[in-house]
Amino acid sequence: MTYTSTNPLLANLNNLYLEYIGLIVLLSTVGVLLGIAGHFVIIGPNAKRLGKLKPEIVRLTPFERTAHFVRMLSFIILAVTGIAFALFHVGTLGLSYVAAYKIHLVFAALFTLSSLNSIFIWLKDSIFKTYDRDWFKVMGGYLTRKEIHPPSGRFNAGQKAFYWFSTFFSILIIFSGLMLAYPGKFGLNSLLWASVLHGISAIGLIAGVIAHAYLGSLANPGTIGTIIHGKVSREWAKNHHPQWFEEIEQK
Amino acid sequence: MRKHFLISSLLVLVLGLILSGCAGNETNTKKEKIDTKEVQQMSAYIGTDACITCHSETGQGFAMTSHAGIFKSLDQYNTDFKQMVNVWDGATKENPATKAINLEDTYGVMMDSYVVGNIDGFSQELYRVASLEKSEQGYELVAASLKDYNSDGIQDWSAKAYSCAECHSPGLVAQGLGIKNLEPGISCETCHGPGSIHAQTKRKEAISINQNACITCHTLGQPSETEDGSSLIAENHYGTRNWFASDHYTSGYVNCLSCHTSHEVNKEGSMLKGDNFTENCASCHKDENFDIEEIMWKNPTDLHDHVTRDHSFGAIPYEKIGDNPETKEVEITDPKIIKKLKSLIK
Ligand code: HEC
Ligand code: HEC
Ligand code: HEC
Ligand code: HEC
Ligand code: HEC
Ligand code: HEC
Ligand code: HEM
Repeated sequence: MTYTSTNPLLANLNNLYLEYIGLIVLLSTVGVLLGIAGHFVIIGPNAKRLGKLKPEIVRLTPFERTAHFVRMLSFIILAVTGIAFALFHVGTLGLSYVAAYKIHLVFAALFTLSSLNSIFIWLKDSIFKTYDRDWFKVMGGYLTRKEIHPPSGRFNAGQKAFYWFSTFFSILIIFSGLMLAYPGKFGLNSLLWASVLHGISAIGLIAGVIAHAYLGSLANPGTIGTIIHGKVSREWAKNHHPQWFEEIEQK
Repeated sequence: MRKHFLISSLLVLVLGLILSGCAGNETNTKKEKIDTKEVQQMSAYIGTDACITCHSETGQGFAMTSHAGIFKSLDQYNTDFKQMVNVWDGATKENPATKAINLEDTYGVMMDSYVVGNIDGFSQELYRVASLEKSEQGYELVAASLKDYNSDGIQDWSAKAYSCAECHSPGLVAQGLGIKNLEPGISCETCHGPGSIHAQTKRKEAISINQNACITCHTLGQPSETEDGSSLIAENHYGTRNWFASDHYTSGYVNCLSCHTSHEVNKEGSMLKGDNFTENCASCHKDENFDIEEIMWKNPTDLHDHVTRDHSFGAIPYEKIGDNPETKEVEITDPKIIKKLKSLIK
């Protein structure tokens, strides 16, 4: 039987990762938050008037909202405990390693379920259409103070992009996490890959989700209700998602 | 709606299968032989704080041992280190450099006595910049040594080369990745080696438990020969005195960790298995009654108490070695003992 060592390339990558993980976590959280604050001050919320209208059309079903809520809650808990693991600072949370680890595993299972669910139920709405090109041309109007409403289906092109981004990293983080939960089942190199990829996908997701949460709340008044009571106003739908609005009007 | 429920119950099923399949024979680790040494060469140090996030009990035990206190940070003393002093490079004879330094910028204190630091522009890496002296109020800062360098009639502070780091502050001289994470004194990774890959993968094969870890500092203690070769001298730092001459060592069955612990203290606060000497020996020698002062003698004339008790366990009794009690060192003048030691050292 030959002896296994670590692949030198992987080991170097891993050492870089370890060296900069603190900095990367800082940039991906504080950096994105600063970017958001900048956007809020310079450009501000998009179409404020749409936030004051009465929500009447159902946008997200209770099932969609439950899946999203579980995914959101478990993600936040996973992110907090996960960052504590990565920085070896579990004690700062006032938890023992074992307790934090158990919490992480329970919410990882919930995250897995809710993510796979969300991925399935929103797949159809997230396939890119030709008119999405026009949305990207003006970046959804997010980079200007003028109120622009480019074409958009049930989800706009930016949301579709976030769907695929979060799908990719969710699957990556779920698989690598599963491996790390059973270290006895895998080779040393596979585990080390898993460790690095788990960290990188976590950082990607954290940065992406912070931006996503901003776009779904402060940046677009009238939107946050969709994940609470599920409804939006007719005007909101007509402006933000014209193609989708036509579709439901025809029904 | 019904479709959704179908999908999610299917997902629960799949997930349950994955989880239970994995949990089934968790104890069966993957058949893979890992080269611990090579893996550790590519690992980085992560520091004691990181190790004890998972090994908190070991961390608590370790903190009680005297190993944890061999090199302390400045804030553990109520002495005011915030003072500028002009120190001279006592490690060079010709044109010694001089520099004003703030004692607050030093690394810490070794064995409650040496204040150790690095001085930019001086010839050596590490210096004993000052000393602490125990007084009634606590500890007082004094010069490591004094000398009038610029012949102005005033004694100047001389920083002396610090050569004790290897054993008394291994964290200051460790090499490799992640050394910034190491405490200056003894840390987990001083004995276990760098542990980043172990911590990330939880594989026990990625960290070493080296039964010989103790000998690197508690050396086997070879006495030096006097110039005329007629006798041997055991200096202050004589290591684990005469251990290699003991039946314990030569039997091959007993090592340091048969009697000592790696990170636990007993009721008396020492790193010994069993609550005291008698209990310790009794775990293997049920019917014998040893006297510690006799079978593990101390150099009665050692001024600084630096020398470990004799570990020859009767093979080299104090009365037989021919020591001159007037002098600090232990002289070994008895020809029979010298022959025995020399044949054992080789
Ligand atoms: C993320 C948690 C974690 C961290 C951090 C961690 N360990 Fe471990 N360690 C473990 C687990 C789990 C085991 C048991 C592995 C097994 O038995 O398969 C273990 C086992 C060990 C062992 C026993 C190995 C053996 O051969 O039996 C030693 C020694 C050890 N760890 C030292 C360290 C040191 C030193 C550090 C810091 C550099 C450290 N550990 C950091 C989780 C951790
Ligand atoms: C002075 C050297 C030394 C230091 C310092 C040290 N260890 Fe150990 N450790 C050992 C030795 C030797 C063993 C082998 C087991 C034994 O016989 O005690 C060991 C065993 C272990 C084990 C295996 C299980 C056990 O307890 O026997 C773990 C886990 C461990 N050490 C973790 C740590 C951690 C965490 C630290 C830092 C807080 C640490 N060690 C500091 C020498 C050391
Ligand atoms: C990095 C160097 C280093 C290593 C490695 C080391 N020691 Fe020590 N040890 C010291 C120093 C320095 C002291 C003196 C501490 C003091 O007197 O405050 C000491 C003190 C001791 C003492 C006496 C104090 C007590 O608490 O009983 C014992 C016993 C001891 N060590 C055992 C061990 C054992 C067993 C190992 C291996 C597992 C080991 N040491 C590894 C440096 C080391
Ligand atoms: C057969 C048991 C035994 C073995 C083996 C053994 N020791 Fe000891 N050692 C003792 C006892 C007993 C003491 C006295 C402890 C005390 O008074 O608390 C002691 C004391 C010490 C001390 C403290 C110094 C002193 O003067 O009290 C050190 C350091 C030490 N041993 C290191 C080692 C090292 C290193 C090894 C391995 C090379 C080793 N010992 C092997 C039993 C043993
Ligand atoms: C881990 C078990 C173990 C412990 C603990 C232990 N011994 Fe021993 N001892 C041995 C073995 C094994 C030998 C070798 C026997 C042989 O070669 O015949 C031995 C031999 C000796 C001898 C040589 C003469 C003889 O009786 O054979 C003396 C003296 C001795 N031990 C003293 C001590 C003292 C003192 C302690 C406590 C500090 C101690 N031992 C602790 C295992 C142990
Ligand atoms: C080869 C490793 C090594 C080196 C180098 C070394 N020491 Fe030690 N020293 C030890 C060990 C091991 C002990 C613990 C012995 C014991 O407790 O029996 C010790 C103990 C001491 C003690 C006594 C602690 C006590 O409580 O009795 C002092 C003081 C000391 N050393 C000073 C120094 C100074 C000063 C230097 C540098 C000039 C130095 N040592 C270099 C290994 C070393
Ligand atoms: C952290 C707090 C979060 C908030 C405030 C939030 C908010 C929202 C809102 C308001 C919507 C509906 C948008 C609309 O109706 O157009 C939405 C949709 C969505 N959310 Fe979240 N969410 C959060 C976390 C997450 C997380 C952790 C994930 C996955 C990792 C996620 C993935 C999605 C996806 C894929 C959609 C559909 C596409 C899209 O709107 O971009 N969300 N979210």
